Amino acid sequence: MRNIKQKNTLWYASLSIFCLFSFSMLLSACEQAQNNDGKIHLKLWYWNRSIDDGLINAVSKQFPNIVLEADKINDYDNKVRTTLAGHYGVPDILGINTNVAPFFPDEDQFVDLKTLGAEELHSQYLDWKWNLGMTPSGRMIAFPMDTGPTALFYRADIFKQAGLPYEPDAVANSLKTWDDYIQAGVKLKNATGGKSMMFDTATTIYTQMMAQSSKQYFDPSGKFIGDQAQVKNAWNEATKVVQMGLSAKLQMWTTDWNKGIVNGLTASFVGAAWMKQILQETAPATAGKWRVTYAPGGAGNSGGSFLAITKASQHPKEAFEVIKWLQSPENQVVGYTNIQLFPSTISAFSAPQLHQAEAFYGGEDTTKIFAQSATQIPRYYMGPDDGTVSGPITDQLALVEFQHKIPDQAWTDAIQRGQRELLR
Amino acid sequence: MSSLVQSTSTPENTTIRKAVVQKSNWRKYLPLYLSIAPYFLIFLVFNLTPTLFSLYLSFNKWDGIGRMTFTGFNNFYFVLTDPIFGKAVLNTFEIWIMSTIPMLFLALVLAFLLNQRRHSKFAYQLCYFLPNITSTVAITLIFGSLFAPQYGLINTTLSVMHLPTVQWLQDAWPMKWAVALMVIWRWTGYNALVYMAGLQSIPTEYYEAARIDGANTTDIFFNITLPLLRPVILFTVISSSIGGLALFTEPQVLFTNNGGTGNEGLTMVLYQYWQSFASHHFGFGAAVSWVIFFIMLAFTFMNWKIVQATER
Repeated sequence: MRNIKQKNTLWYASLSIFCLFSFSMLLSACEQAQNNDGKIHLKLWYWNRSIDDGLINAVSKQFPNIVLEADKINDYDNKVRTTLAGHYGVPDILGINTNVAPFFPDEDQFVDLKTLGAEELHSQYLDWKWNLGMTPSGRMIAFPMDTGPTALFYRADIFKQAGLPYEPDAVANSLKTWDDYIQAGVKLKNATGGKSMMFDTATTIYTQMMAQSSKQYFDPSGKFIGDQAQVKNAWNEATKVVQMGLSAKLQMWTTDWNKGIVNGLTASFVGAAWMKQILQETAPATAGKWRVTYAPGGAGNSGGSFLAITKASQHPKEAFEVIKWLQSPENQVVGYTNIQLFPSTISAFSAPQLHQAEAFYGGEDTTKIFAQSATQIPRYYMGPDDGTVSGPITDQLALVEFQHKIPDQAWTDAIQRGQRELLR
Repeated sequence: MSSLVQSTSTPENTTIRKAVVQKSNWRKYLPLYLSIAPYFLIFLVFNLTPTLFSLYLSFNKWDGIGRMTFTGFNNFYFVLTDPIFGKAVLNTFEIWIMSTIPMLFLALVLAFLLNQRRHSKFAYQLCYFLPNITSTVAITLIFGSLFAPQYGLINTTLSVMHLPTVQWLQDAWPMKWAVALMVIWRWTGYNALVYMAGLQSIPTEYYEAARIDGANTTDIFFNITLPLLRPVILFTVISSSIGGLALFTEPQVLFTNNGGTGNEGLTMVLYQYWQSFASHHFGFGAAVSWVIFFIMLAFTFMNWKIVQATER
């Protein structure tokens, strides 16, 4: 008797475990299929600090018939790719970072925003930024969010000590080209006895010169132009700085780089508007010593993101209304004041909130500089394989800087490696 | 007991019982099968299916979103002729040797010394195990600031003592040592505990006899402990080779996806991750993982042969 009872208990126990398991699987599968409040539900994916959270919360007030389900996603690119591949749970609106071009081969996964009447907004936005969301076939798959206009960040006190011009206008006038900048670097190194260097790392010079170029690695027809003058010039200037011993050899995003900013080893760098916050949070003690002025070599863009509407969306029209509102000039001003997202709408640049005296930069109005840079950036084309061919170049540049590789050999290897990568 | 039961049952009896057993076998074991079914279902869905899919994927070109295009053995050809993959394989084995040998030696010495202590063994054991259960990412971030080339703790200390500094994160061999040192720090304690368990199974009579014969600690270590520990040592060699060949987090956090300057810190598995999840060449990445699978298979086979040879 006892044995049978035991057997039964075992039966029930295992059956219930199995049922629980299947039930929970079923539940998670059904989770998505429930909203009948009569409103339009839109799903938005973004990453931390890419859109102001206050604005996201305000969407339901602005559009009473829309519920915006916004999710902050980690490990963003992989989740986006796997979700798009699975054709399940694809959001209506998708944030895309500066790497919009790798999505060009899959342009059919996105709604052509021109079909929703995007073109009438074109004149409000920076033309070069607008153009970055256009695929070579002329579809507009991404709508402008923020931008990364670049400028020269420098330590006025160290410049002064080195006998260089140190007021923003004077610096901009004396450092018109990258060669001027390098010559000033020699002077600064000699005057400080090597305690301060003009350049953080050769990679910054290379990437920032490329950020100023209207030609990148491919033309819109897909032809490789990454071994031409614009790339070679940037390479030459970067390797020249290494060979002249003017680099502080501090790689970006390392603790050493932070330390160099804090203790004054790095006297200057060219960087995008979003570097402001990184600089201020890294080196609060250097407040008042930094200035921002126009970068040598001209205006450039580094970074900045986009919003796209996926083909899976049931409500592309409403999604576009939400995007239009989120990225209106007024709301871009909100995004800039709250989380330092530099606007892509031209009228936002004249908003008084953007033009404040910033104590960290000695009371300077840095927006004036960045806004001017933003309006002067040339149109350029980013191709889907830019990263594939630029990766080997910066890799080889690191070898020149840190392992004394001969620049000519490194250049040959970089181009060869890039060409090989493209065969895959 | 079993022999007793067998001797009492006649041949006919057994056949009848067998038939009954076979009939009710399913009913009898069904609850058990049901209980373990979730694991196998999950394995089927989340392990076996992706594995088979990756085999299919490895013959295709796929960016993760659009259509796959069949490319035959192109992916395999590319990976097998890629000098950077060759470097990654070499790095993996170099770092494995650089970390495993000192690590196991240290672990053995630690275990041997600890085993001779009478008191407060537990506190030591706890300390040994702590590095192993600490988050690898946290460890790597801390080691990253120790190894930082200009203002890292190690190089600052070296320059204070007027010794030449080491470019831990930029020069080829120091980069490998940086990774190896982290592995050593993380796994020495764990292996010491495994050795401790092995040491405790060695009868104390051997040690006492040796002492009476006038052997000192070194003699005892090399002539008694080491030979008797051989099976345990083999176990740690095999388990650390499995871990060492799959090395990923330390170089990834320390040197980012491409393995740092000159790809000197790139391991096989990191190469696979870099290609598929950072460069979105998912078909190629699948081919890479199959190549890694065969490298590990060959290595495991070698391991197994060595174990067999030593058992004879």
